Amino acid sequence: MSSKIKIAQGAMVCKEIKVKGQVSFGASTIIHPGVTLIAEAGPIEIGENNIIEEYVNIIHKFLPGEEQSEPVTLKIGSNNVFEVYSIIEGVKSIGDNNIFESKSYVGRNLTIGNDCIIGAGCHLTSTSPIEDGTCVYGKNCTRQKAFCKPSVPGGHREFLVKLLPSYHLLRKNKNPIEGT
Amino acid sequence: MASYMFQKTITSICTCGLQKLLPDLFFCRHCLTLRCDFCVSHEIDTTYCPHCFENLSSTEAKHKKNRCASCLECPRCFNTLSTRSYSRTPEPKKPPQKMYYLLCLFCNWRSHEPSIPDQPTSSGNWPVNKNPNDGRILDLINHYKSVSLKEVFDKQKRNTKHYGRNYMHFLEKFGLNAMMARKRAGLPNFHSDGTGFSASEISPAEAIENVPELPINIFEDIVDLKQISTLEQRFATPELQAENTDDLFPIRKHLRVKHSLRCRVCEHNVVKPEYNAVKFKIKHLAYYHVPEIKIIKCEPLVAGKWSSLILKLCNPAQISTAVRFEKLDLNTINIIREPRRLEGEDLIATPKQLPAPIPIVLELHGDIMVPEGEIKIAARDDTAEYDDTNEVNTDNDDPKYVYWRKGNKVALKFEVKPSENLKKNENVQLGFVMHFMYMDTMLHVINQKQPQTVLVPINILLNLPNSL
Repeated sequence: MSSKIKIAQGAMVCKEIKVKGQVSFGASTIIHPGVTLIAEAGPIEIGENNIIEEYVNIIHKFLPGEEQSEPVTLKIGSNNVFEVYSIIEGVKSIGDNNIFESKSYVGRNLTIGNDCIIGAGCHLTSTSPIEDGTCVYGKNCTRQKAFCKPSVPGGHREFLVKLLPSYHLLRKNKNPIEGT
Repeated sequence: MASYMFQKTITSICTCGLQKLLPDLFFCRHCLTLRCDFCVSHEIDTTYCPHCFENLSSTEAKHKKNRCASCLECPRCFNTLSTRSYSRTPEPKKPPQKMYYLLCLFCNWRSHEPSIPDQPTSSGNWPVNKNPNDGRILDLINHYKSVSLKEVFDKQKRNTKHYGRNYMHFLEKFGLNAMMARKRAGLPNFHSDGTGFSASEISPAEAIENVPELPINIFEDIVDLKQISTLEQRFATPELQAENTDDLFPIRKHLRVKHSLRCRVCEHNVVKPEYNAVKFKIKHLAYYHVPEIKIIKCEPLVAGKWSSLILKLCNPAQISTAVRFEKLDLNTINIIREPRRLEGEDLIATPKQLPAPIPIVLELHGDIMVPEGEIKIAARDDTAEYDDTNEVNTDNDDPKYVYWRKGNKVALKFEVKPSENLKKNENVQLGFVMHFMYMDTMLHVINQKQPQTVLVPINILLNLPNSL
């Protein structure tokens, strides 16, 4: 797989991930093993303090038949959490402070604002953007106002920073100057 | 497990004439017949909260409007709410105060100011949202209760008129002896006959002149669907029906009922739950006695041609059984089989007639050839699967009918011929009668007789897919 990875300071990227294309990880971002990142339709830029858990797929591909169009950058903001087995496919952009719960699916051309929660198992295929502070839940993907900001338990990040390196090999920048 | 059992491919016909799946049926050990939820009487045992498992008596439950006092439900997605804490410092220099709020772990709804202020105790004392018209509704309910009571009294009065003057024979019935005693003592009479009974007065509802007008921009403002509650959410609290999601209030959890089932003919319990546990004292489901039938192989069905069908029978009982098959006779299907003659202590009440049986209207789309003779099925043995040398004697089996045999399971060959005028997209409905050997242990217990084996017939219907 041809890939170009850029890891910022403090980011932890496990070695057992699949990457295709150009991907950059912001500071303090934690990538668990088993993650697939495909950046065929342009580079993926992942912001700071994100947690991407096991078997998450972030796929940034062109629609079949449109392979020749201009590459577009997929920007993922900061402080997002992608829980296990969530799939992000061809999404337009993702803001800050969002939680994608386990096995959620976010389809093409969708814009996700800030402070949103995509509930477990929700399958989003519509293209109407998800506004700031929305909570999507249930099998009908009901969208309603979220009354609290999504948050990750305080000790979670420290726990991961301690534990992940002791059981997994981490990726490092090939060119040390590039990463700073 | 649930999904395969709820396919309506194989159904049994209950004694009352309804077509049911085997897991939905009960087996009365006294009448030795199948019973379904239609031909058993349902009785309420206890009411309990499904979340905290608190048992409540029926009057207590009625007083609390059949809702749990301590458990709350999310008004948005109806899952149970949990309590979360955080600490806040109301004023500087004072120690931080622990505060609690409610959070739904599924949809992330949380109780929020101002409608539900955070509480300083974990148990809550969460405020109950009262309907502004609560008092009026209570008045109306009380009024209609007294009106209906008056109606009952009036009816009784009308019925007793025909007795003429000689009413001595119902002295006992209406407690007139006590009334006479009171009269003699010079005390005022009871109003047990309804005379002088008056319904409480209610004020009629009044229409008001000035109705607030609709806001000017109601038709022009863009609707924010995020803020509007769904119909489901509104119907969960019919007395409030908040339109805005901000006004949703936690719902007190509905109580559930543990019910016991009683055979309507012999009045023995079929299912009886245990009081303080998630267990049953008595549980006579057909699933524990009747061999379960499953289709394991079915050749494509062609109209007018024989094709083979392999059914697997599984004996769920701890004693071995035997099955015999018979073709389903449509002419005799509606004759209700007499329940077993109950005798001795077995009879706790005179056997009752079931409500009018439902006539079975059936149309069979073809012919079926059933295995002949008796086929034995071994008893269920939970340890058998760990036993490698679990050889089953297959010497007596006719290889024409028995496909294979393993433990308490046996696969049998049937032949099926759909009728010539089979329509497209129509399932092939076929039926047969399965007699299975049931060890009647009740006789042994009650009459000190040896346990006897009884052949219990069960009508089975197959609904096979059409390959046209």
